[in-house]
Amino acid sequence: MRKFYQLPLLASLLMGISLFLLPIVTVSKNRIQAGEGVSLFDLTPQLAGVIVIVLICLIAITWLRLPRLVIWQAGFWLVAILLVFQGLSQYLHELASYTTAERLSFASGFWLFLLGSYVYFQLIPWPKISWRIMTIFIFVGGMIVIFLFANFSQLGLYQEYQLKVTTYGTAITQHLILALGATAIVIIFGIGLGLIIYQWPQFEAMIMVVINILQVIPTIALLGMLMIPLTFLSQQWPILAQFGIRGVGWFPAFIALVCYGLLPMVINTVSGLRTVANEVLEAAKGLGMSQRQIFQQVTLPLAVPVIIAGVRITVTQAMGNTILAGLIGGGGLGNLIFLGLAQSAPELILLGSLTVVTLTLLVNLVLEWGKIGYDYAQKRYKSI
Amino acid sequence: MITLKNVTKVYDSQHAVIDVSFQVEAGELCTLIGPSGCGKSTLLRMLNRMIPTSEGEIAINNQKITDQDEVQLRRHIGYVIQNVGLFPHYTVEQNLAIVPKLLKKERSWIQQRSQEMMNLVHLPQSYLKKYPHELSGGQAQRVGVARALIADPPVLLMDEPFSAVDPQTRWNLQEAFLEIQRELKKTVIFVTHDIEEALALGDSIAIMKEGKLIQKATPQTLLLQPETPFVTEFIGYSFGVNLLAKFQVQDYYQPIASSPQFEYVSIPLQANLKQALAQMIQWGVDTLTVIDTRRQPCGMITFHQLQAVLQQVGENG
Repeated sequence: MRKFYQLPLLASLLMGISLFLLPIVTVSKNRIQAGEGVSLFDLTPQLAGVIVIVLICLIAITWLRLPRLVIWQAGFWLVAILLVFQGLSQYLHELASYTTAERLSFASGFWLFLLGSYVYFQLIPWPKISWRIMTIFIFVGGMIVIFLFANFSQLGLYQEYQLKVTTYGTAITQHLILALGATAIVIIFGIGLGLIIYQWPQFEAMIMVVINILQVIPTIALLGMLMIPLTFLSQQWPILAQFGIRGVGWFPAFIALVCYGLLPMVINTVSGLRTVANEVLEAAKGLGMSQRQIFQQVTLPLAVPVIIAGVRITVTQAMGNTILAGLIGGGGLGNLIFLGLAQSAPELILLGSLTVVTLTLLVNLVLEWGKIGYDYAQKRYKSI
Repeated sequence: MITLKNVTKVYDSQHAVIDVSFQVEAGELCTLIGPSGCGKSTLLRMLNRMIPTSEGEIAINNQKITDQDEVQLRRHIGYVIQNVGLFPHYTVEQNLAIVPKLLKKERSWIQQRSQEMMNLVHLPQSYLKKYPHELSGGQAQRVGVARALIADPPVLLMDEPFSAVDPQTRWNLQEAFLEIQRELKKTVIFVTHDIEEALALGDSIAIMKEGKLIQKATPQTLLLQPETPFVTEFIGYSFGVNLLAKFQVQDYYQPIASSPQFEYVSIPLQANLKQALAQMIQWGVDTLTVIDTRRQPCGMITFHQLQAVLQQVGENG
């Protein structure tokens, strides 16, 4: 227990050390040149003092760990993180006022500070969930205000976005269509295979061997392996190529995504169905429910939460794996990332990956709401 | 009324139940007991066709169970199992409504009946809205009994229903169930592995061993006319004393308005005969003064009367 309590302290120390000892941003003349580090004190001399005091207070009350001080923990955390962003915003304004050539990139101190802040926030021992929601609310509100008044023209990420503004939206759409489309197919086949295994366990070994092999093939190798038969097919029947079924492009990427998604989906479906307690099934049968009623009213509703967890794993995995579609002309945000790698433009890579992360988090959030909605609907539907 | 004729169950040439025949009268509570692996649960599960019978015939109220659709059959037989098996995603109310809904009962009927059931098993009405994980083991089993009884089935099958709870809770459940049974008079087959439970609940006790029925009789008959030495060995030496617990002092004492020879050792009118015997042994006397609720002597009970109770073979069976 004691060790666990040291974790918030470590997180707050990480917040402080990363801000004071490491460069927060780097400033460079162009996208390739390595920039010069700027520390918090150079960034915003006026605010740096305040941030130092706030962070020292935060570390101190974390160290004391008095339960009554939780509200102060949340308060100092909010002030520290919002002030850092305010400082960044001010600095961007300053840069924009005397130059158009400089570009600003986030540096190690900024990322570590974010990491520390995130961990710290997760570890605050909220006495009530409403406090946590309130804090998130204030944080988001503060960030929106800072963003509205910010001038991003000298921010590297923003500049990369400006360069790619025409393809950025398409990349996002392609990425989502590929990942979510593959997930939809995986849900259909995964649940189908899961039901087959549940109903006829004799097929389990056979199905699982195939799915397991698919899972252990490295992604890029799978794309390469698909290239040969698909190219052959499209050469035999050129009509297929018209629909995009070729050795490169979206189709092999789609197939690969489906192959990778199957394992978590099938496993979750089967284990969801199997974790339904024996005595519940025995009682259901003994009370006079038919096999079909037992499945519809008992087994399936009890398995759904585990199946939804499988969908979440599949979607998260698919969102990440779709990046590789960029390698074989399949489109998506991988295009930006691999272009950034080819051009040694870290900001472009960052733009692509941050977008993937944000989209994945959003999709997960939607599924989380979906599950909450399902639970609610269950209760409403069943009330007699 | 439940009739079994030459019922046999064979699993892969292993005989689990061999040629069992007996009858349970309407309103009779028959406990089925035997060492583990004797086939008692298998036999019970054949009665509602949870497992098919290999040979022989089972009839409930003179209707062969194989003549009916098995799903329909189960809806008209109450069934209580050891781990209760409440649906975890249903509230207590929804759990109670399962069988009535299968029988297409009116919503208002179900609601009214659920409330009656909660009263019957001594649970507050507010528990109707609770989920099974919010209940204790004993409360869950009360709901299990209520769920089995809600559609008023004439027959109730219980498979070690009270064996997964602590002794005090089990005792409470037994008391509560006896009270319910006195009121509803169902035909019950109750599987247990605990001879004291079998004795406390059963109007009759059926003893099984290695798939065969050894004897089905009232407790007194088992005590005085065991068919094999196994019966005596199985029921144990304290069976007779425990049997006394089923009889009340008020049914057997000699009311004497006033008598000069009252003993000092007394027993309340509401006590049972086992308690009376304990008093006699503790104080080394063979006669007790029976006192009423106002603690006034109203009669006496003797050691010979206790003995006589155990000798009344069949009369109370």
